Amino acid sequence: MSRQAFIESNPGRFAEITNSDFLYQHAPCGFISFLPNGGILRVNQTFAHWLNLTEEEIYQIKFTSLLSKAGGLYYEMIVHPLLNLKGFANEVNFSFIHNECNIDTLFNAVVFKDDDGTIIAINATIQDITERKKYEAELLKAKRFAEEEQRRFEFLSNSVPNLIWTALPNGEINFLNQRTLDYLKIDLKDANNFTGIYEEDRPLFAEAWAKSLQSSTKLELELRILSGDGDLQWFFLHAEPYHNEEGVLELWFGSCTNINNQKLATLEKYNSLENSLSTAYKTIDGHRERFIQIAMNQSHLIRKPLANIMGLMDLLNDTSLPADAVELLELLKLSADELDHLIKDVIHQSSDPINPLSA
Amino acid sequence: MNITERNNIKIIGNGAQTLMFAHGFGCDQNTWNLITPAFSDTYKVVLFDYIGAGHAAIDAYEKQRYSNLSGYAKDVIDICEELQLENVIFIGHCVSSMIGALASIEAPHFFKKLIFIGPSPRYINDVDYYGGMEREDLEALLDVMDNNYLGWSGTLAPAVVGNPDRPALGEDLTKSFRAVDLDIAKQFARVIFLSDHRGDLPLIKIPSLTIQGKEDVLTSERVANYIHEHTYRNQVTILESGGHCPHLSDPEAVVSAINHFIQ
Repeated sequence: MSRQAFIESNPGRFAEITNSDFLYQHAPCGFISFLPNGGILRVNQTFAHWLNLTEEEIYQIKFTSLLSKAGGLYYEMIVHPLLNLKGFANEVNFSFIHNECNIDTLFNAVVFKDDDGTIIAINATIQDITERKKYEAELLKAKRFAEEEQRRFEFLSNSVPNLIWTALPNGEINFLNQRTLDYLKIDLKDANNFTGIYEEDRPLFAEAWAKSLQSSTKLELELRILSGDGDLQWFFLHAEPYHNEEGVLELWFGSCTNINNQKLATLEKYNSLENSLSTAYKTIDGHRERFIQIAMNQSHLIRKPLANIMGLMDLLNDTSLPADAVELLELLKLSADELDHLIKDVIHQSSDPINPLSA
Repeated sequence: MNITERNNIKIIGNGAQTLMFAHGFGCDQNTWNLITPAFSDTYKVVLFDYIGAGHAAIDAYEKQRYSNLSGYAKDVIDICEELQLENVIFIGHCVSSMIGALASIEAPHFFKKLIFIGPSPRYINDVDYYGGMEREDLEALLDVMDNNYLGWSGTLAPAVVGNPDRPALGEDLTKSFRAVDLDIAKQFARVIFLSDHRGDLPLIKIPSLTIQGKEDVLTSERVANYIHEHTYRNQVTILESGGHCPHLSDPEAVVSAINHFIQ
């Protein structure tokens, strides 16, 4: 049915429905007018029905008396000053609690002023959002749970003897536990300068951190951290990416464990081992030189009579000898040459700087 | 950052006598808009915002410093030092009453008189003491603040800007509101309503005036009388018409009470 057809066929109904007083009284929201001191001037039937009070009963009550005590405090401390300063207030959540009535509402108000600008009255609409508020209460509960979890994490992170930190996926540090703040004597906003990391170790860390951020892989590193008091200590830094259920990287969890004593002990052992090795090398080198000297000396000592023997064999070779003697001399010469080569090899290998003992 | 920027200090008028106005919880210095015109011609009027309110530097908020009213009192003293003030008449609304009292105890050389509007040395009831609130009321109030988080930013922003003719400014500011604003406000509420400065009242050595609205839901005549009984040279003026913010609902009466006390 068109609008025109409805009006023509139901003129009485149309007048009733659009009658402003009917709309005021039966609108699906509450209307209330009250004085600056809270005295109620008028409410519509919808609101009176919600409160389970007659209009006359309501007029004996002050506006803030309809609210919860906390709501009344909030009205006096926040909303009332705003109405004075701005002339309106929007979407304020109030609970109206009276007798058996307990409804959550959205309260929108404008002030009515006289020519001097003095507030004469406040007109407000009230929308029942009780059901929606239950859902919001669940959301609020979840928000508080998340906040409580955050506080628990902070408590836990402050109770462990480590420096604990978290970073956003881009590497920006967004949390340092109290132990870290106290140890470094810095504010969180200064954390991203990495000034706590010892200057010499900073490039190594920056490179490793950048690689981890790029590849989303964990970082493990031993480095030195300079405390706010100037104390330099070794730490084992561990950072691991946390991925949410969808596999998206949400946060980096990092810790720095003090390994100063172990590290210094290890370094001491390393230095001790290095010294031992150095001594061993010196001993070996000394022995080697002596060996070379001995080998050289002995080789020369042996080679000298051999050279005499070989010279005498050459002289014999120039003499006329019986055939069987010539044959024996030849065999003797071969053996002398072989012995000569052997001695030369000893001399050569003894003087080899890489490995004088190798064959 | 200097103190002027930190606390968004504004000075109106250049009279010899300084009146420092300190806003209460949930407000900023604009709350004095109906009062200051009566004094700006003859006095030097100093206005400011506490950290977490108005245009004060929110980055200057330190949870530890503002974990009790002494931190806010230190801000008041900082302002006196910054502006090299002396003989200040301090007018504080709500929580600022005790903040001013603490500042005058800590640094009496800056102050001449104190005016408390709707003050309370302790809001929560105690044995043989009526503050008007129970501990559960505070928790419920924090719930209401939580429930009005969006309203908190949306409705407060234009007031913070203090320029209703240019609501766009307020919209911009609303966008910049962060959860931390509500967190600071809630922390402030906890500090206020869990504070107990009854023991400080006898330490106030300068004259003071309590202006108490009869319709105040937060404090009451009983509390005003308690302050009167425990504070050296304290006067009480009860306003028939005033609620918790008589400087807004009945500014003429407040101006009159102030004038009567300071002249």
